[in-house]
Amino acid sequence: MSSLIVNQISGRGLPLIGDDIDTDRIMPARYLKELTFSNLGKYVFADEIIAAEKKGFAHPFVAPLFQGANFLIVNSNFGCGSSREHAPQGIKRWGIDCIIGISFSEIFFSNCYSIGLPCLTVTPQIAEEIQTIIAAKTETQISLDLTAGKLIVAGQAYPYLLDPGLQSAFTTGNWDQTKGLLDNEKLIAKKRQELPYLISNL
Amino acid sequence: MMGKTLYSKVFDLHTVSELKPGVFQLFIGLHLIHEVTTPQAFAMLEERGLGVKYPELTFATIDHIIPTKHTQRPFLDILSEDMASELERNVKKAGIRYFSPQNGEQGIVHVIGPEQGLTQPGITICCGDSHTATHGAFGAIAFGIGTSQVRDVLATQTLATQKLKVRRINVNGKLAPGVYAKDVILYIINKLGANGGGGYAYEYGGEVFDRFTMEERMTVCNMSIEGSARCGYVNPDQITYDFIKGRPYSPKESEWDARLKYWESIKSDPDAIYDDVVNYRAEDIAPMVTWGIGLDQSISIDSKLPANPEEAKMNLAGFTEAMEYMQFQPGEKITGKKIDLAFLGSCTNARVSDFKLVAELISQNNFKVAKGVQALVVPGSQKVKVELEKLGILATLANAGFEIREPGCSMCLGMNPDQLVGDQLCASTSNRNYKGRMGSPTGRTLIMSPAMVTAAAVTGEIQDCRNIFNIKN
Ligand code: SF4
Repeated sequence: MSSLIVNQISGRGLPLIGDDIDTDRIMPARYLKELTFSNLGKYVFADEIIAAEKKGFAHPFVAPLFQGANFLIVNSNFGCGSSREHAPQGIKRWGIDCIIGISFSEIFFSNCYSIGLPCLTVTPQIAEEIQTIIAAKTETQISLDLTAGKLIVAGQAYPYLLDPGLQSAFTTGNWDQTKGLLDNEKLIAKKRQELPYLISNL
Repeated sequence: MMGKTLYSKVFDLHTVSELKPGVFQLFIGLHLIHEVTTPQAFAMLEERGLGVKYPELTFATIDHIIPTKHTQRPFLDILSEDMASELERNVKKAGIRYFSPQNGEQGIVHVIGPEQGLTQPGITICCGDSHTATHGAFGAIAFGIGTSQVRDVLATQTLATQKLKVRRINVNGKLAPGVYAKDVILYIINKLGANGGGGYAYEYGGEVFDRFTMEERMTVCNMSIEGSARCGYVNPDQITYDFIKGRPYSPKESEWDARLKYWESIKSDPDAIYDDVVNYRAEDIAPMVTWGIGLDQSISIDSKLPANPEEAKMNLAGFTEAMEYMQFQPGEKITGKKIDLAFLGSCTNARVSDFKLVAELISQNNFKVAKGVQALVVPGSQKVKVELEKLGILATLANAGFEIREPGCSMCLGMNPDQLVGDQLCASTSNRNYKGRMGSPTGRTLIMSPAMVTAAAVTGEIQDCRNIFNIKN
């Protein structure tokens, strides 16, 4: 299981400014028609990229300066709306290893967790500060050590929140949940027998 | 002992184990699936050599990609055809019951659950779809999940989840004529914010909900996620039980009393403790319309667009972005805005009662769809369509110039041929006004009640349904 361990991540950041960025924007519906997730990295923010181009600037996901970045810094309620896992799948396949933001929609957060993509919560001031630092200097180094609980941006440590249970699931490579659920096979069968509305269907 | 909420009772009853502090393994009593969020889940199972644990607890249909016009197979769009065949292959292999177009049972997943009698009080329901909260109208704990969790539910009939807090939302008093369930939920989202429900399940109650039909309760619960509440529900009562009785999957006569006892037992206790309680007055609610690109960016039809970010409770960047995208000016009127399309459909408002109301409104004065406006009527399921036909409603609507389509998600999201073109403006009964939601990256959507969309369809512009149809106290 060692390949599933998510612990130390380092690299550069990509600031994406705006509240309530929904998953329809992250992954437009027409790209949900593929039977696998494998190509989704190419479609992240497809429409926003075109819209930005029309206005004469490069969306951060295509701006040359941010290519190769692996930390995504967002604002509040990121990933709201549709439950499509295609959104975090696309972000991950684009190359993002960690998302830092003020708040995340629950389904998005849980989808990220399910695919081994940590979402760290920080205060609005910190999110904006990190975004400003990176925007000013794109080569800014970011490093995260989940075991030590340390997030360092440009040499400075920033506090963040991540549920300790989830934190340890990442660092021990146990974020993939199917196995843990399967382990309780007997308890599941027992529950199936007990639920009042399922009894008669047996 | 302190009273418990329905959420807490049902959650505890379905808890299989505590996986780690605060993370519970929850048994899922009903798993609904559709073609878009499942192919990868089945592929992952196959990769891991796992089967579907309890196929009899999963039910499938096809709704998102299905065309509403050229429905013959193979579908014209190859990718859609692939998705459909993949679903059919997977359900066949796993032995999952499939509500298919061929047997006349197909529809939007959140319409057919209740229609088949599958949706019942006190059960846990999951679907790879954020509008699963719709089923909460029956007093079920229903929420949307991602594809990896669909995999988990298929493999184990359980998933790992955290327990939500519960916010009780009371709406007391009496709604004025011309104000509907859709207006109630848009009002609630406006008040609590699109971000306001994070970490909460919403329990809706009060006199307005006590009187609501099941369809109306579904409309409200459907949009819980638009307020960031992953789950929303109404406690079951006689109206719920009457709706369930006699459907294909409802409890049989011999089981009814026992089941009723269970349903009654999971209702929130009168002394239940809530994490938060909010109260609204029905009299304060007017027909609502969204003006922006988030569901809390809305106004009552008799007021003007917010003049500035403060009025809209937004930051400057977000406010400017929304106004620019919608091509609206701060402070202007929304009435009089010309629309290109009117869409009557989606899991929020595509049940028989919704179209019945539309037919009644247009019949009073022989209204016709305005010139230059395309007005789509997309029933939520094949059974809804058959019923509408029987009631003569489809004929009425067709005569008035509405285009009647086959059931599916249609305009609600840009995955099937029904899409906006360019920056068209659409008055819609669906649930999302996000940028590009209806398939065109610059398309614009105004969310409102079926009566309001009908008013827009017949006048060609955004108007107060109460004035157009002379709806008075
Ligand atoms: S009608 Fe719209 S919101 Fe409802 S399930 Fe279909 S796409 Fe989703």
